[in-house]
Amino acid sequence: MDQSVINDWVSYINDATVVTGDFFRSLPGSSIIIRYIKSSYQDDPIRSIWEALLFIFAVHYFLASKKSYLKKNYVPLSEREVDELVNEWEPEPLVQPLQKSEQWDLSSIPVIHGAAGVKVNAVLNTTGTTKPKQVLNCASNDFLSFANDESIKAKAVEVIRQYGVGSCGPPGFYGQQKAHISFESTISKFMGAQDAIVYAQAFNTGTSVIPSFLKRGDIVIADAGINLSVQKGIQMSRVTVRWYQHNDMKDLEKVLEQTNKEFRKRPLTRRFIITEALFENSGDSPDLQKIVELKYKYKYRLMLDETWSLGILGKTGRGLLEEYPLVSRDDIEITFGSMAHALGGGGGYCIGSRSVVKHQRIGSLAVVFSASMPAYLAVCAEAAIEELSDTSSGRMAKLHKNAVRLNEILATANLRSKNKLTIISRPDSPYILVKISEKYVDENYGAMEKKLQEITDECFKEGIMITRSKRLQQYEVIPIEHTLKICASIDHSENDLNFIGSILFKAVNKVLP
Amino acid sequence: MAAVEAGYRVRPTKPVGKLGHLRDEEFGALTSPDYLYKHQHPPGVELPAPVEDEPPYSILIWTYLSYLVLILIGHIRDFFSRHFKSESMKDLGEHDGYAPLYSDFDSFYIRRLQHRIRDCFSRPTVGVPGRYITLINRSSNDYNNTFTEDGTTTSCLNLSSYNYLGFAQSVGQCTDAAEDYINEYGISSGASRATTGTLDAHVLCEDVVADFVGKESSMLFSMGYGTNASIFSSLVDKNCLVISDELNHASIRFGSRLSGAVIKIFKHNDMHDLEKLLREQISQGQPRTHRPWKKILLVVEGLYSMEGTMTNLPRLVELRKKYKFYLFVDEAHSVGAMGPRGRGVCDYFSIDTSNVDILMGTLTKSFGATGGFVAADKAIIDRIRLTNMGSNYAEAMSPPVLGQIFSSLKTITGEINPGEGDERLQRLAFNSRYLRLGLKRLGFIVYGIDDSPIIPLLLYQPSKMPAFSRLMLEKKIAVVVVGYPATPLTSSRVRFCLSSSLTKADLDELLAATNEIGDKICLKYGSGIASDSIDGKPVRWSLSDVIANGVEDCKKPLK
Repeated sequence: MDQSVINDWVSYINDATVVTGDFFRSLPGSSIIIRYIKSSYQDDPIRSIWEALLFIFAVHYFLASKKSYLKKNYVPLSEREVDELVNEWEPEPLVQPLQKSEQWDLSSIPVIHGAAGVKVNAVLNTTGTTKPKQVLNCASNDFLSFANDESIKAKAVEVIRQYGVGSCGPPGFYGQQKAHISFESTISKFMGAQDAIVYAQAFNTGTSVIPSFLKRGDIVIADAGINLSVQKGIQMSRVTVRWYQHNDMKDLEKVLEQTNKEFRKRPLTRRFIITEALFENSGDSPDLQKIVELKYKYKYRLMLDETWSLGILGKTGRGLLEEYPLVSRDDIEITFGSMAHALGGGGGYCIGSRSVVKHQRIGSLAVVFSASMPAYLAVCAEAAIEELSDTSSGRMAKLHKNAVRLNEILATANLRSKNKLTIISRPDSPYILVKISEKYVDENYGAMEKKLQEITDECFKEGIMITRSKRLQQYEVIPIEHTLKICASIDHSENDLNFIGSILFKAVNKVLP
Repeated sequence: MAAVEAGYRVRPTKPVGKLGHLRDEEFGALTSPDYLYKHQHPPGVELPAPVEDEPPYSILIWTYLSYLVLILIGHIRDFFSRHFKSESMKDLGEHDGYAPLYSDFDSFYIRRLQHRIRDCFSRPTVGVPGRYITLINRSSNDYNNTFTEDGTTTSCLNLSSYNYLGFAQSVGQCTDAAEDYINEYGISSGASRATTGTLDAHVLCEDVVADFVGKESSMLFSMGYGTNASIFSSLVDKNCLVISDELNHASIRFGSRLSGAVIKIFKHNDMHDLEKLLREQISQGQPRTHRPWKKILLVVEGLYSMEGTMTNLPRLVELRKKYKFYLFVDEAHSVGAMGPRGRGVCDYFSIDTSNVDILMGTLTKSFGATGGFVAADKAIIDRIRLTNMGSNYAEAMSPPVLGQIFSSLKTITGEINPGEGDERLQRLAFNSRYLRLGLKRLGFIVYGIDDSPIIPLLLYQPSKMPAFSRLMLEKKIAVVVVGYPATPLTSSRVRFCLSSSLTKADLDELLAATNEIGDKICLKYGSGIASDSIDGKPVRWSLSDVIANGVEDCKKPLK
């Protein structure tokens, strides 16, 4: 290189250094910094190198974008290569079309013509006919027959003549109507809680309540037989979850002890036990008294899913708590459930203390980002609760009588047919789940479901409509049990109940010889 | 006189439209055929990006300063509350070995900022959220901790409900149909759709919805949010990629996360960014393993509810052909509200629906019902019926809602009361353009495209949210104000949701009120780039000029 160019550079660098130095010295306070640096480095040149390196690293770290850090695994490709890859890429179909062997599953959905009361005209394609047939409805969650109650229907008509059908907005933006507020105060009084909040759909109540309180790092101890809505809520909240054996209080205590030991040295986070009052998957109930004892002993909070128990358990339909006089609603921090089951309407609720409810009004996704439920559903559910509060109506007594009776009939008939079925739900519940006994069990998922469908079809042909539980194994965390669902209703007469028993076992004997 | 007593201030003299039979407080009658407009995007043309006006820098600096002051005062209040062990802090600390139910850091914004303007949200209402909405009067004596109602109500002009086509009614053929369905089918079908909760009415209604949106088959769900929350699990799994617009609704984010798929975000409506992301993802494949993605699902919304912007569907369709992704369009706000026939974004852009793989929408917003739908080819819907959580576990749609959907869709298609559907669609289109043009000319900054029935008007400073909302309430107009975290920190806004049920006189009333308040609290930041300026200076038309020229001008291409 030419000597003069180098000289130019040297003088340029020299000038620049002098100018920067002068500028720095002209800044107020710069002499202090210079003095400090001079004095602190004169004895220790190694330290100066270390600090310079650290400084460079820090600058590099802050300048390096998040993306380039993530692109560690990035393969640089030329535009042409990318084009080729784009052309070559063949995605799978969006969903696999149904195979011929799966068609029966779709055909197994019955279509009811007219109202879904206790006697329905329905078409079930798997039975081979397309004409509606009158059958006895033994699969409806409307146990107390509120959905087709004349006075409740009249109320609904009155409400849509006042409010219209939809609410046209989320609760935050003028979607909170007088009907909702009134329902919230009624249900919280009925269940013995301070306050309540409504959700627009029962299934999405649990999936939204849980993530609104529980975050990453919190701890959940959940029953291994819990329903899918709660499972999904737990998944979305990203908590640390430990499962205990279904309804096994000894195992629960063991898990609590282990977990507390494991997290003893970590900062204190929210800890919840989650269980269900009447299990959707197995139809039984936990020992609430024991759970409450354990929860206080190990300092956990309790979340209870009362989806299936409101209007089913307890003398007046107040749920599982009514069976445990020593447990109060205040022992359970958060309770949620559904108006779509025994109350014969739609939507879900969550009850608890005022602060629990207030937090959800701006902290729960399905409240904030969803239109509120139609006003008529709130009014109908409120009317149903008022009817339950009125003990003279006798609905609960009738339901309990029918539930116990149907369970007896099924148990006797089962014994007669050499216990081909096992009733897994509690013996006083109108929500009855039965599964096929061990010796007929097939490991194949499809084959088991098909067998249950054959029983359902036979029953339908003879005049009763029951259903498979139709749980989706791909979403459930826990292996599912293949069950049939049979529901007692207050509209079933003694003859109907006997009829259910005889037809069901006739079908069972035919399908499982 | 009756009208004055009832509190309805504007009453037309002689209705000219097809809807004179409805209640005036729910649906104002059309007063002139001039107040109709049919909107359509020129076919085959890409959607130009809307002109975005920006406020002076000083406004942004003041906005940040406002938040800084609010946050500082919040922390001072927290300090003293904690020091004196105030009742309000009880839930936030550890006690007896229990962690607080919610953390004070997460709840700071709500406790110390949102709490100050709690009266502007969740105002309780009663009755039909139609042209007017009846608010229950309430007041607070303890700084918004609790509200007391005195039993009186105020009827307000409704710019807040999602009632695009004005089907929120207590009279008329739709409410009649809902009543008939209650009498025939009851309140509920008593089970989930996949078990024994399917009624013939569901099947019929699904066919009507599919026909309406132009797909082979459709499926109904009892909750719109729940539709998105469960649908993605049926479509994608952990070996699939979901590409999502950054402003997609919370339900889409919830649902796609629940599905376990990998999620990538692209900048709102930025087609270059999207294409870059697609090329990168297809060529790189799955992270770590570099195996090709099983499939890529692109999720966009038809009309964005906070911005009033629309997805650039013509460009997306081109990209879809090239990159072979599956296109999912959430038509929550656009179905019914957009397109000359009200069929949504495909109708608006004159694009065949076969170019969109999955059309999802809600029935709350345009049809006065509730719930959501998914429409696609029959093979896809058949599979979803068997694999969807919403159909197997959640309750079926309630019968009166089906009645409302059935009758409102048939009204739009003209099979019930011919002419009514067209009037509703064209009034909404006119109202949207008229108000937007008026606001721009008055000097306000608004976001979104010209035909959007959602008009966000930018307020910027946080203190202007309650100011605007309360002043509007004094003038008996119900509006929705939105701030952080639903919007970026600096762009707090008021969102006008238009409806066919509003008359031109209502809009003029609204323009006058906004003009007055805009002057009072200083909201006219428009620089003029988004509207026609006469002399190159910022546009500030007078109210009378805006009203005098609006009807003619809003039908021309807007600037």
